Amino acid sequence: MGELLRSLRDQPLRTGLGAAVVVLLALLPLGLNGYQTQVVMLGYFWVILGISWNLLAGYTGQFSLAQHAFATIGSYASAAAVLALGLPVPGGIVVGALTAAVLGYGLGWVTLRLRGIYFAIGTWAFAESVRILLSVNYHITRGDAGLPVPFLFATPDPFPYYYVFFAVSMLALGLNAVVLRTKLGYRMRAIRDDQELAVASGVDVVKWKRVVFVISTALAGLGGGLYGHAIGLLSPNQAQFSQMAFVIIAVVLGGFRTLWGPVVGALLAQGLAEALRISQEWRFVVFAALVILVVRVYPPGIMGGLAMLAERLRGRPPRSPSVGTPVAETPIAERGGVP
Amino acid sequence: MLEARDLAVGYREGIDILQGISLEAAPGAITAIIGPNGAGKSTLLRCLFGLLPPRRGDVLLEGRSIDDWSTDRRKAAGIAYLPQHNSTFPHLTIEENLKLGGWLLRDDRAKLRERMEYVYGLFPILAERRRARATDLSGGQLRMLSVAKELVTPPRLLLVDEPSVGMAPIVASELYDLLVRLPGWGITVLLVDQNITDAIRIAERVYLIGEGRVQRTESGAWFQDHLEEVIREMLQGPVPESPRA
Amino acid sequence: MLDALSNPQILAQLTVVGLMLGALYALMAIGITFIASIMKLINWSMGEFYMIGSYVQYYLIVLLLGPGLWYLALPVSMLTVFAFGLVVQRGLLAPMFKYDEARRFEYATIVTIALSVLLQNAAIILAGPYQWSPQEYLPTRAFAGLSLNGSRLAGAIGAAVILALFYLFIRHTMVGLSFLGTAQNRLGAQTAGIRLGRVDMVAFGIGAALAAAAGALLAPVFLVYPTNGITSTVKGFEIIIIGGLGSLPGAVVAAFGLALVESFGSFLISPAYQDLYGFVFLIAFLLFRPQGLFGERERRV
Repeated sequence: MGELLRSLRDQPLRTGLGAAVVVLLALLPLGLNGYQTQVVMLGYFWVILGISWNLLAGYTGQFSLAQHAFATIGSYASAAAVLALGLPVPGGIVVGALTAAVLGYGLGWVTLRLRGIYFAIGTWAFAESVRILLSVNYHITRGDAGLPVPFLFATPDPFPYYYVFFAVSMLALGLNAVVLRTKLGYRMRAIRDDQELAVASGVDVVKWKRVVFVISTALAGLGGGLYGHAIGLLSPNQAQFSQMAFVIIAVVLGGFRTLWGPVVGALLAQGLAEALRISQEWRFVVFAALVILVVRVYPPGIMGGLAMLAERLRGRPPRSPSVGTPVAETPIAERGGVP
Repeated sequence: MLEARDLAVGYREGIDILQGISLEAAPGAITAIIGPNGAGKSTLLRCLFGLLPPRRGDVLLEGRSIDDWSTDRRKAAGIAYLPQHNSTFPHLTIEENLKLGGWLLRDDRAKLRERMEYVYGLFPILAERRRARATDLSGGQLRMLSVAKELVTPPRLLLVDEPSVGMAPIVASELYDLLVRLPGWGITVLLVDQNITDAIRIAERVYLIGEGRVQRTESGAWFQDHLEEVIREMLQGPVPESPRA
Repeated sequence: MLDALSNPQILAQLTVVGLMLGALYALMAIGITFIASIMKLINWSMGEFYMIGSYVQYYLIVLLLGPGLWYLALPVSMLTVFAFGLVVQRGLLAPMFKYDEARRFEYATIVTIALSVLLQNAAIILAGPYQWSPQEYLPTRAFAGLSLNGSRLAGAIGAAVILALFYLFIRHTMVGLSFLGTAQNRLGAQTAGIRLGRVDMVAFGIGAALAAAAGALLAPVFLVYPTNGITSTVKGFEIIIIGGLGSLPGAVVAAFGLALVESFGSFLISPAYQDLYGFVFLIAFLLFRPQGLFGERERRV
């Protein structure tokens, strides 16, 4: 914690800007109508998912494709706790997060030892299984018909929901920042950058990977629980692959592997979608195309770009972006150039 | 025949492993490059073959700059590369390995066949086992296959990276015997080697590389006479003239 | 139910149906594993190449050739998607080689997932969310007492022919051999003078064309609609993991195996669970034998 405060003090401009954004977002509902507030509120759901996924994939190098599934698990577990066990809604949400964490621990135990692509497919298979199981067991979950759940607040007013989501998002962001600047953060990045070296350096890779995985899935579950009780209707389609694709899109656009990237990306994607008033399909086409453009042309995304800009403005030559540093190890013909 | 001029090569931004190498592989001769591990000897060969672009400097083939030539163009011009690590195709047969070695001759079946038989002539063991898969070969035979594969397309210059690493001494000495014969067949050799004794024995010219630069270049014979001094230099840095002659 | 298997008629019917589907599954999966063996990347948008293949086939039949000439539409469909694959590889994927292995994987995964989303939604916008179907390729035939769905039969024959041609190409031509070699040792291919950039591009195009062929052949069976590629991707991934990532024979064996299991399972257990068998096997293999049937033992992380 001390390290975090120290680093905040050392970068006054950054901290100031961050604080300004937080205040801005906190005051935002005052300038929006109810519908718009709800739109941004939903954006925070994606922020939470994005931050939790970025923690895992961006900072630890574990490219999971099940983030949305853990959110769905959070939703349904919370619903079960509230409807079947009679817990109050906040209690249900906690149960949702815990369930996601426990299942995350289990999945991590099984898949974290798998190499990149196998890990990805393993998490993907898990997510699909969740969707199928929820859909097929319609006598419990009401399957595709949807499961109505109680709301978090008695009032239909979106403002309290907005602030709950906002608070949780900022907490997630804060958690992310703290984690990054602590030993856990260093260990994570060590694991991501060179796992063998990390092992050789004495890092307990297995344990830390699991820790991050559980934190990540717990956050996702928390987000899912909130989401369910804000929307009022659950569906197995929450675990469709297109939802995971949206998380990836939001994070990559905002800046994969940056602190504010998921926030910027998710809110932007959500905001843009509403502002443009285009169909669901067009949104996906535009976002997917943007992602491809970003990854192809400028991998660091918006936040990465701003960081580079900031470095340039400060008069320092910009460091190579941490994402996708080109390694000059290509045969001349392979660099897409003239053979 | 092949010349490197002030080559600077590196894998990452700002870190150059080679910081200005100039050397020359004279035609019809064996030239050796020796130096401590990590000095960048293998990196140099990779750059010369076109696997790695130089950050600065030129590579010249018979006086012409080939900096922007792709690897296949260099292969077609007669530069062959025998990497340190296995360059054979494990699940293909010897015959198929050699066929692919002659990829650039694929449009002239007769010529390809002729070259393959020629290479089989150099390595009778491979000829015997031509239908065997590469994974079924012994270490020595595999090394032989690696060399054979690179000789199918007629080479004029062979870049050899650490020929003796990981091999039984008998196999290694066979390989050096082969290298010695190459100039007689019109093939120039540029050899990178950890094995100083054998390298300086067979090379006409030797370059000592350290800390990213050429530290010294003399004839192979000179190195044989001054071996102790050279090793001391490599380990400790230049030794001042001793009062004892 | 099990004793019904002693009836040779039923046994034969289930086996033949399984084999016919197996050929088509093999066609779906082999493209994915072929590309993976050469470029070491998993293309998450393979299903969309299947989808595009099915649409091109459908439109060609309905607008130009008529149902009788469906087999002429097939190569055109394959060629179109082949070209598209070349463009995608050269434009979107080739740059991934700039990066080291870990970043390369991230890049490829993100790009191909994004591409998948883009193509699916573009299809909805351009063609509408409707389900089309060309006319049956062949009428249902009775053969040795078995009743065979004509389109499935035509599809299976088409798949078998394409797979056979692919095999001949790979094993018996120089170009095909260069693909095998590149898959086994990229450095060895480079020292032999093979142009990796071209190999990557063409291999990707071939893989895409194979997926498109599956889509075209299955158009009357699994129908033509924007998200019909999802099943193809799912089955394809199941098959390549079971068979072994990068292994061509593995993909074929696993494809037939899965199809037979599905065929017998539908009869013995229930048709509703058809899509679950693949999943069960996938998860089992990931847990106990991630390298699949024919894959090489990977270094465990």
